[in-house]
Amino acid sequence: MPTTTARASFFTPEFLAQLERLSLLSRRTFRGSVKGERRSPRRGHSVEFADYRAYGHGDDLRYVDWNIYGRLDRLHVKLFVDEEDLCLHLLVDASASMGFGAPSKLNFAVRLAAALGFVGLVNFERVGLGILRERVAEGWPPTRGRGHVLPMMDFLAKVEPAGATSIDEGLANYAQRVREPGLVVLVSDLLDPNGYERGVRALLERRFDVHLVHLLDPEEMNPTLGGDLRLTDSETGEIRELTVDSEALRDYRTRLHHFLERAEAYCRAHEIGYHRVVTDTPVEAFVVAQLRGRILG
Amino acid sequence: MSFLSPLAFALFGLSLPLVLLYFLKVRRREKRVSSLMLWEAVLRDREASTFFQRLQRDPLLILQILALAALALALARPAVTVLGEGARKVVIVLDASASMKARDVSPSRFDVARAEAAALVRRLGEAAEVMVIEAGVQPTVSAALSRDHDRALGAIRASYARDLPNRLPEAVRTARALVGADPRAEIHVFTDGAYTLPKSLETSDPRVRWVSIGRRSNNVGITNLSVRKSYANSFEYQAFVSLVNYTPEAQTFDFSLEVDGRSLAEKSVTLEPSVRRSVVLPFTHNGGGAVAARLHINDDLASDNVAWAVLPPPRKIAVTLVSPGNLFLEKVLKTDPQVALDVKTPDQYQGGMGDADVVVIDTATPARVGAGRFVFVNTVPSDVPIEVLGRIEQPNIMDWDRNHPVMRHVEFAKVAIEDAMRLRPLSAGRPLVEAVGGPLIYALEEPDRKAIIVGFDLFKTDFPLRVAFPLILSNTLRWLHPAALDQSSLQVAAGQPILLPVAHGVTSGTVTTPSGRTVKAPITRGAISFTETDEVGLYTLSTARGDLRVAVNLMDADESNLEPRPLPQPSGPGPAASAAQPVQRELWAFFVGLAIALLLLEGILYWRRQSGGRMALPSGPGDRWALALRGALIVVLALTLARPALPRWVDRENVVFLLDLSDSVS
Repeated sequence: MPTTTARASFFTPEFLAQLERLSLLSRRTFRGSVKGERRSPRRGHSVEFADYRAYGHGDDLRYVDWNIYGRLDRLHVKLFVDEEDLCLHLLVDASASMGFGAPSKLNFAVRLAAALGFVGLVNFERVGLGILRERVAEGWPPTRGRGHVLPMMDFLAKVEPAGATSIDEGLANYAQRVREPGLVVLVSDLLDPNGYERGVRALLERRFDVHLVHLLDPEEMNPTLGGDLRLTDSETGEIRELTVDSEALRDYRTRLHHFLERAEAYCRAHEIGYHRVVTDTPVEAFVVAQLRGRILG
Repeated sequence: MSFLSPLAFALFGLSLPLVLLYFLKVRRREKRVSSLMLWEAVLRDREASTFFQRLQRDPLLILQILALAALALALARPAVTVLGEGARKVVIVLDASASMKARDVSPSRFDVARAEAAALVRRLGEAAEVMVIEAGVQPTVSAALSRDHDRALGAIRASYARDLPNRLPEAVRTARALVGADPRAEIHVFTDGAYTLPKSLETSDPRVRWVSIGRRSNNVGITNLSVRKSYANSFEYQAFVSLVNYTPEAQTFDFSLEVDGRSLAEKSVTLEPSVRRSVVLPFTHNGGGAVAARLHINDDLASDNVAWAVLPPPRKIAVTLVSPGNLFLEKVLKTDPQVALDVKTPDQYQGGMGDADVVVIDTATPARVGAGRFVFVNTVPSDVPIEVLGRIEQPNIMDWDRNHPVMRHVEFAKVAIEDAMRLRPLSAGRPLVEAVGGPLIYALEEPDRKAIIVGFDLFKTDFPLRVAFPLILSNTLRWLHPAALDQSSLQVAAGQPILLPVAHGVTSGTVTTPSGRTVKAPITRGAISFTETDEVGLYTLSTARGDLRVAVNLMDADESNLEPRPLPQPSGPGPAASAAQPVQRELWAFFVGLAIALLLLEGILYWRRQSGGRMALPSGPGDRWALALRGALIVVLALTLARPALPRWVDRENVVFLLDLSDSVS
């Protein structure tokens, strides 16, 4: 994994300049805690008219609509849209299976998280990080401000793949713990025999805007294996013997296809943003080409 | 179907270890994957399948067993008996003489003869027996009578023409002897007819069919080359060359004479058709060398366009004279220009040869002389197998052996001898001069000793005063020691054996032919012999004492005259076709082909399996070796279908069995 000194090589200055021009997109509006730069479901004092309501004792008389009083002989005040900040939750699967590949899937995941986190922080959004293993193993509480860019990248640079995957537990745990929902981007390979649906549902119940970045290694997409092999599971260490011939490869590809189709269909059905990427795609290209218009604007 | 080698079926026993290996744990490569989750379905399917389901999915074991079965069957040499048409005995005689190298037909007469002989064999029915005889220095049966036509074709392909005079009648005689009186036998003689065929049983036998190859005679050749040393000066020589024009037109060409590559003479010669011309060319040369006479002409036969002669290097015979004092012997030996004389008194001589080539012992009686070359005058050492029984007073000379080299040009009639030893030889040899009572001069030849025994005192005879005395001494020295080689013994005609004496003590030697082949040459009784003089050029005889060159030339006017002459025509119709006969046909090639096909399929399936269906080079070294071994096995099996044969050089030895069938034997 890239070390503190290597976090400087996460991105080139040109790409960072490109990221500065982007902003996060959310399909929902969330209540923020402080004034930000996006719409809030609460009524505030911006210039954008939102609604009327009956005058109540203590309301500011400057917001009484006298035209309505002239017609209806009743007092009403105008309501305006309030602008608040967005909380971005970056959840990175750091189980052992994410260490597979060269460079590893985790390498792609942390770089992607760093890119999204950078966009959020430079746009005064709050950005939080969660590292998923059996549960949320470690995290970074939501913070805002440019000053947290480098510490965030340092934090991500030190993440190592380890442990088994339990996406359900991790996501459910996170959904329960976090105070303010927002935009959540889960970066994972979804290789959890127990599934991920329950965890994702927990996030949806807390009204998160969920995006799933499904990571795959080229060797997983198109194995170059062949012959008499002893396969070792990266996470569990389980060993199984298998002769990989063309029929075995055909079966594998069929199963992989079903796995991917199922993930995509589930996300589509639950209005979850699904983004599949193979890790031989440069992170920069993925961020600019595929996430733009979906997570980034 | 029968099996000629049924024990080969034991090979099929290897199928048991094959099956056992299939059940053994396969050596697997370790591979780490991100998760077995996606492989789970595949693993489940594979583990659940039974042995036979696995076999169906992976038929390698079945294919291997089938290939093994096919190989075992092939090795067992299956054969079926079929009725073969054309049961005949056919003998093919190929004329391998020098004229068959002529290029009037392309590529050469012999190549055309080989092609026609091969075509004849291919036309024969399965039941026909074929024999191939090459008419070389001696007739050689290169393929014995059998129904294996491939062997006959191989013998025809391996035969070649040699620089030899015609020996066809012997070959035809051999063919007739081998087929006996079988009226169905046919003897096909492929020859150019460039010789006069004598009327004989061979030519009148109706079973002999003569196939003529050759169209014309367009050849100029050297039919003789000899070099003679001038008696006036030891450095002056004369070369005598005979040239003949066997073309229908006058020919103008260049002729050159050289010694050891140095040009001696070059001249342009014009010869009318059928004209022979002799050319005498004097030259000077110091020391030994090889003389080459060359015709620079593009004619049909190249073998007679060059002739060689060898000038023997000057060599002296080291002679040790052991004598109390004998002026006659000393003077004669000193005046011989080829003798280096060393004189010793009897006290100084302890026996043996020392560094001498010949030891002359006069009247001395050493205890023992040992092996070597000797002249004993008036003495017989104790270890020489000759008994002295007494003395003969005034012996009467009865006769002398005029044919022996020692007695060449010697007249012994009027020699007077006062008295001589009465000799009784106990070992191999021959008397050279005989008197009443025993030999006066005896030539002793033992395996390791040659000697001339003069049984009388030179001071008690007028023999030293006669011309015969220095002549006998000179002949004796040259008979005892090979230094006495004259040019004629260093030049033989092609086909004649080389037989040369070697120095005392030499027990082994080799001969290098003009084409560079080196052959061990036997040395028996002090002479080296070599009979395979079937190519013209210089032969080098190598022994521990040095090298000697011998020239072999064609020098045969009959062979140089390429004009094909009429050959005898068959007098009657050919032998009637005989009834079909049962013939055994072997089927091993079919089973080898089947094994190759099965192994090829097995190899492809193995390759596909180990590369995951991609047909790329397997990544594991073990898999690559397994694939390479399969490929090598297939290649080796494919090669067996070409029926390869390993050539080997053998020392030819002709063995003749003579069977006495007379009544007394039975």
